[in-house]
Amino acid sequence: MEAWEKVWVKDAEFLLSTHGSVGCVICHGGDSQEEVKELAHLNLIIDPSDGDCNTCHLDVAQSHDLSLHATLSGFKSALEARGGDLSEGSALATAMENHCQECHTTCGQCHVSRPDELGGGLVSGHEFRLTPSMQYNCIACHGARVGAEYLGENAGFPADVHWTQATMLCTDCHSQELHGSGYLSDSRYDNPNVARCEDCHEDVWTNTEGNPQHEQHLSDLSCYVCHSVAYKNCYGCHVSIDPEGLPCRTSEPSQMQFEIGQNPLRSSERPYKYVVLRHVPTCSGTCDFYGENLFPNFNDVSTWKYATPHNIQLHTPQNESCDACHGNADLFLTEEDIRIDEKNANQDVIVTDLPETVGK
Amino acid sequence: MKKLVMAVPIIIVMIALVAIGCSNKGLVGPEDEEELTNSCVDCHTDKALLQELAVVEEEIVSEETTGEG
Repeated sequence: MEAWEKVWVKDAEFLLSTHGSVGCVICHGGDSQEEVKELAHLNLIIDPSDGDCNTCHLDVAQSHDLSLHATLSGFKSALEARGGDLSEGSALATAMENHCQECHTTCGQCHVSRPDELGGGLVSGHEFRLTPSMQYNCIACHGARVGAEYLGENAGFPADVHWTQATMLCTDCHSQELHGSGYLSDSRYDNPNVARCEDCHEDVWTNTEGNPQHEQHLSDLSCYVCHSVAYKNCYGCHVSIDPEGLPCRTSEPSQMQFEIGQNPLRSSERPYKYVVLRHVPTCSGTCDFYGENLFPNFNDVSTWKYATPHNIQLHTPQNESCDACHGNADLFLTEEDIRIDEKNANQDVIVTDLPETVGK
Repeated sequence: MKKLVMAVPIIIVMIALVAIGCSNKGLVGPEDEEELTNSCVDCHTDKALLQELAVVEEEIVSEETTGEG
């Protein structure tokens, strides 16, 4: 996006809209009477949405303020669960500020402009879009794994059927959950509004007749175990500051893997014994640049996480037959799949006894 | 008689409109017209002007970053 295009209010109709009619200065500051660019931009607020939207949109703004998009509490809780000290001035707090904070988003970075992380810029004139752009907002941040999976951008792996057959956008499944639940939480899976397959496919649960696989496995396998394919797993992320003083990171090449493991989030909502697991980029030395042993309890938290890959298929290699999955060690996360320094961390999710073959 | 009944209110309305028009003269004078101009809108809706004035900010990203994010 060109620099001029980022600030071009191309649609004059915006000026007549509710947001446009309040005038520029009320939200953005600056001086609308000044014709010299530099003077007009004095005290300019580029993104006024970080706090101003609650004047009119109180409910949703308050909910958003507690959401993962705003608080990054998922990052914080994961670091603290590994014994990380995030108190003010600590080495880990500095690392988080340097490397994680940029993933925070505001109302405007979903509904008006592209995220700061991608250089910002108005998405569609200055239009306030009730539904964010899948391309310029959602996938702009969630593109490396979920976005690439959904659109079929990983060579050799198909796009999600919800995209190829129905051109569904992110917001067709993910709506109010994106503004959080109204409560502080550590995981998107805590949100009661989280997208669920049964929101659309309720009939799968109410009528299993004629589908022996559903009859047998609806309660002990998550949908993804049978209907997703290999997805991206990241390893060995290390963060540091380069000689120029800029935050930087390195990571190992990602791997396309499919790993069924034990359900780390087993509950009445997710009763499944087996789910698919994704490796997160974290390792014990991720923040070593900032100090030694910053995660003294690294092994308290698994590095293979409950996952919901966005590459759903009706037919997959593992659901071709019973024994395509049963007894197939390649599909299951076993001791041999775990890196030596992460074995203790993942004891609760690895599969020790494979389901026996059934001869079908 | 009927025409007369209809003409009276019409005449009253016309007189009122003229009066309002006169009383509003000067409300929008040259100074106020200047106030109504908005340099934000003038500039940010002018594609050519933006192309002329826009400054390309150098992307400040470490060259040592590697791998997927």
